[in-house]
Amino acid sequence: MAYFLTKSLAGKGISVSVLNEDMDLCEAIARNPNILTVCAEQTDPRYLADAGAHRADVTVSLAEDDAENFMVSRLAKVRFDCPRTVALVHDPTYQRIFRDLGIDVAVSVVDILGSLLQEHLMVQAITDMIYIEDGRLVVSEVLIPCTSPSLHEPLRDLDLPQNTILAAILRRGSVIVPRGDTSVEPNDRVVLVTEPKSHSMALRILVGENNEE
Amino acid sequence: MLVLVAGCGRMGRHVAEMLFQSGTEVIVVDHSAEALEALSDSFTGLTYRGDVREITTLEEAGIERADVVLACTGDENANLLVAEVAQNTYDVPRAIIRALDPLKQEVLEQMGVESVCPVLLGATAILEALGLPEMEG
Repeated sequence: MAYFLTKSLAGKGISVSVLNEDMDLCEAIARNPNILTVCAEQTDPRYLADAGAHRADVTVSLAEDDAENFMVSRLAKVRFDCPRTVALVHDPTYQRIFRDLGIDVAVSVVDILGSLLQEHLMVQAITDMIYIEDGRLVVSEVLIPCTSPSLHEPLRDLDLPQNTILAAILRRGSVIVPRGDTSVEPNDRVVLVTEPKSHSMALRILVGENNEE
Repeated sequence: MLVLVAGCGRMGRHVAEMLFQSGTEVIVVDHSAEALEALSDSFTGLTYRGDVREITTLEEAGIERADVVLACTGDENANLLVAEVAQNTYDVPRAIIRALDPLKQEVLEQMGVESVCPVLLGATAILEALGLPEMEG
């Protein structure tokens, strides 16, 4: 992940430096002359300084170990006054706790992959989906099948979960901003904004249980 | 007073045994059954097997009832995480961690974490035994 992330960021013109213990990884990254690569222990303040932690606008910790990511993020904040810290979280229970402990963004791989897979397996009607705010909000584009249980029902009468809105309906090339009396039609594509926990329920209402065809 | 000792290596084990002998209620948590079995026979305090880096382990061991948490594992990062979770998430009044690297002690202090560094204490004791003046930092 570190390799591809640095490559992608550097490709966008962002100045990147890497601190990692893995010599092979560092050698591979260091082939790009624009990336400052330091091969040393990630949680040692001296090496963080060598890697330019004083100047960093963002520190991202991507280790396999939550405790290590926590240490790096805390060091970045406390020792190097880094304005923004992002930590990868493997145990999803740490996501909220990391934020409570002052880490700006805690990204839970399991949560994001899990809901992505779940949605994908359950509903083939989703044509596009993005997560916002560490995955606390999901925006998805959903195709309304002709078997949808909600056809021709005014939206206000649908039992959509709380914190869920239909932001737009894409119908035959035009964009409709729906109101309470608007209803969905087969082959509409709707833009759904919701919390991940309500996503499945909203999909059941809009798409139906069985949407394989 | 209930003390939760996270990590039952040489240090955690000794602290737990000494606390127990002094009449303090102790629960020792470690992922290794072997490590927990190494506690002396006279230790009849509580033990709990699980990875201290997992919140569920700490919860099941009863961290919210603890008055003091001692994070004594051989992993400094895990020790910091345990202490911060204890104090901030479970309102444990006091947490002390074992610092492995003397160079980290200062920054741990900056973080507001109470730490003890056995390496530094040992080195200081040796200098004292030799009658040499203590060095700064």
